[in-house]
Amino acid sequence: MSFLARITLAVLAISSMSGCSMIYKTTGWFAYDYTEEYAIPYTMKSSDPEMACGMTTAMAPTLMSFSEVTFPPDRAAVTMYMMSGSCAEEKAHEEALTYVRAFKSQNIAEAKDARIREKRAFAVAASRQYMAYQHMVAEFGEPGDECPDLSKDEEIYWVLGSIAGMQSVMSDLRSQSSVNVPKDIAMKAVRGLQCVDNVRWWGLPQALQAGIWVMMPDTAPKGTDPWQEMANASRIATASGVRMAHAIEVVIADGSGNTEQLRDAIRRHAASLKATSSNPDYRMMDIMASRQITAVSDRLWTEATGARTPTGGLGTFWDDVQPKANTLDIDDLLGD
Amino acid sequence: MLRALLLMALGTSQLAFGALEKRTFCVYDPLGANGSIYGMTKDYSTIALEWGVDFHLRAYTDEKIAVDDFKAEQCDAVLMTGARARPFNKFTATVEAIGGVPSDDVMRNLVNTIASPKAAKFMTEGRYEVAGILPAGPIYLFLRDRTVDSVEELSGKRIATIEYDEPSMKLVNHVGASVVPSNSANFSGKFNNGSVDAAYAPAVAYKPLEMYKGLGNKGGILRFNLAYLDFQLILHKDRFPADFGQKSRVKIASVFDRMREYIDKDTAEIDDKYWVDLSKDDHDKYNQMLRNVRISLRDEGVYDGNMLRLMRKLRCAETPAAAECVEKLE
Repeated sequence: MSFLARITLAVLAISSMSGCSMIYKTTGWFAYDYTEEYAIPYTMKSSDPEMACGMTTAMAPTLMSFSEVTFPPDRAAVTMYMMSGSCAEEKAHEEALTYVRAFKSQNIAEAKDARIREKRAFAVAASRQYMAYQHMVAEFGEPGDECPDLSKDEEIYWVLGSIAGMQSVMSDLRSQSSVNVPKDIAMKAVRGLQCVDNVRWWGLPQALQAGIWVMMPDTAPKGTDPWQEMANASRIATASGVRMAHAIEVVIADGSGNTEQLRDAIRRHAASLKATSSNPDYRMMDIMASRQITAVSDRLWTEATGARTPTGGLGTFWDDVQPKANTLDIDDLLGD
Repeated sequence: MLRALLLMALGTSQLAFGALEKRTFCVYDPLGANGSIYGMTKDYSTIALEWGVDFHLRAYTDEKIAVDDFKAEQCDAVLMTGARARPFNKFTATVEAIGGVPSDDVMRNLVNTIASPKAAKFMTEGRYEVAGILPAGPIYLFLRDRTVDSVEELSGKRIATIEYDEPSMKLVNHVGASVVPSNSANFSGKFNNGSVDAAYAPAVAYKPLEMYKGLGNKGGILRFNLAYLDFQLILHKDRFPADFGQKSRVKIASVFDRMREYIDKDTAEIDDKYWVDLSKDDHDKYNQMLRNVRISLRDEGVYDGNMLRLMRKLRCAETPAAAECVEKLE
């Protein structure tokens, strides 16, 4: 082959390679743009968590693969990983119910196996949620000290990333620290959330702060009632139609072993669902919060009765006293 | 006759089927039902089914309430830290004796020794039985100023001290430092905001409670086991099958290495720059001082002499050349 022919081939090869790379880059930018502008808002407005799970779980690796040819899409990744983390959590809750049923029926082998499956699913949830948090940090910096300069559009990623950070610590604890998520994320996320407006963000900053005060009462300012603060946050959440603060209240009450507080929070959530519809822009967040609360209710019901919350029974409990039926006296009716 | 046999058979099968005793297990976990200690008790209660006990778990984020409920017989079993175990078993409560456990290996040998059937007689005190000891890691001294690393330099310093823990109070007074009464929820806040000069804590507290904030650029952590934190499972003995406690102790001792892995992970989270290694002289001085305090607490009836002797023997098996192995004061 002549020298000229070889040069021509080399130039062609290089130009075709860089051409491909350019195509991939452009596709990547297009994919990021499409995800942020359309896919995420569409998913947020949708009402089918199963489909959202399928979509985010499949789309996250596809989207992230473009990081190889362009920059990492941190903002989109926060949402994707948070959502797919919640999907793994849902699976873990299901295994937890299997465990309770096996335990109740003294099927020891199944109970042990279900606990292992539950921990494994929580480990998957923890690592996905931690990824979401890390992408949030990559985009805006570590929360906890100074507040970043966030535009109104950016705040949602800060809020979701912080919540995902908190969730990753919780999921990892439930997986028996399989993932080794740094535990100081919890406190940092709570402080970080104080950077955004409480009412605009559905009472979440107040609910998380109250959660810390419930767990460490000595850290609450004098005269503050953490449960009251929590209930106030839940009221704001109800009004906003995004009831993630309710989920925090329920999870904290569940953890503290305060049964009455827990039942009250679940009842108020169920009543709120009847009274106020979901915020149409964030319907999925509201549904996911409700699913988290249903998971706790399901566990309580399963422990007591062997089966989960009856359909339409969220906010009720197996031992609720039925109001006396207003029966009329047949003798009176048949008399003169 | 046939009827009698049938009735007997029915009676036996009912016994076998309904033999599980329902018991309440109150579990202290700082994170309540969301915490990993509580998670471990779920696994434990599954195994307890095999031993004929059906546990109902109750989570407590306040250890004092868990212990009070146990005393008030609202719980048949309780899991709490060793420092709270004193009213139930002086022998095992002494496992947390200050300076008593210098290493993980000594702790492992100790836990295995007291899980052996021969030690069973020490596990019961009155109506209470210790059904297992779970390690939670060494307790270290966290200093806001790392140059304050000798016993003498601690004099006059403010130390966050757990209110109900008599030995800690005694130790802090012994070094001439001032006690700043604290509890497990607020000691880190006091350390981080500078209202105390020092606090003691296990490695597990470092990350979640952000103790690196109090350590800052000047602080340090003494690489010295002040004591070894543990969780103890205590039962109302008469409410459990006769062999339950022994089976439980053997099972709980068998998870020692898994617990140690968690402790190692927590310890690895501590930034290397914070560790302060004591000189041999200072190390010996600390050991000597802690031994004096242990002996005086034994003489006052706080620590159990048998446990102190056992710990001394285990320490000497690890370090035979130590002076205490010749002096045998414990």
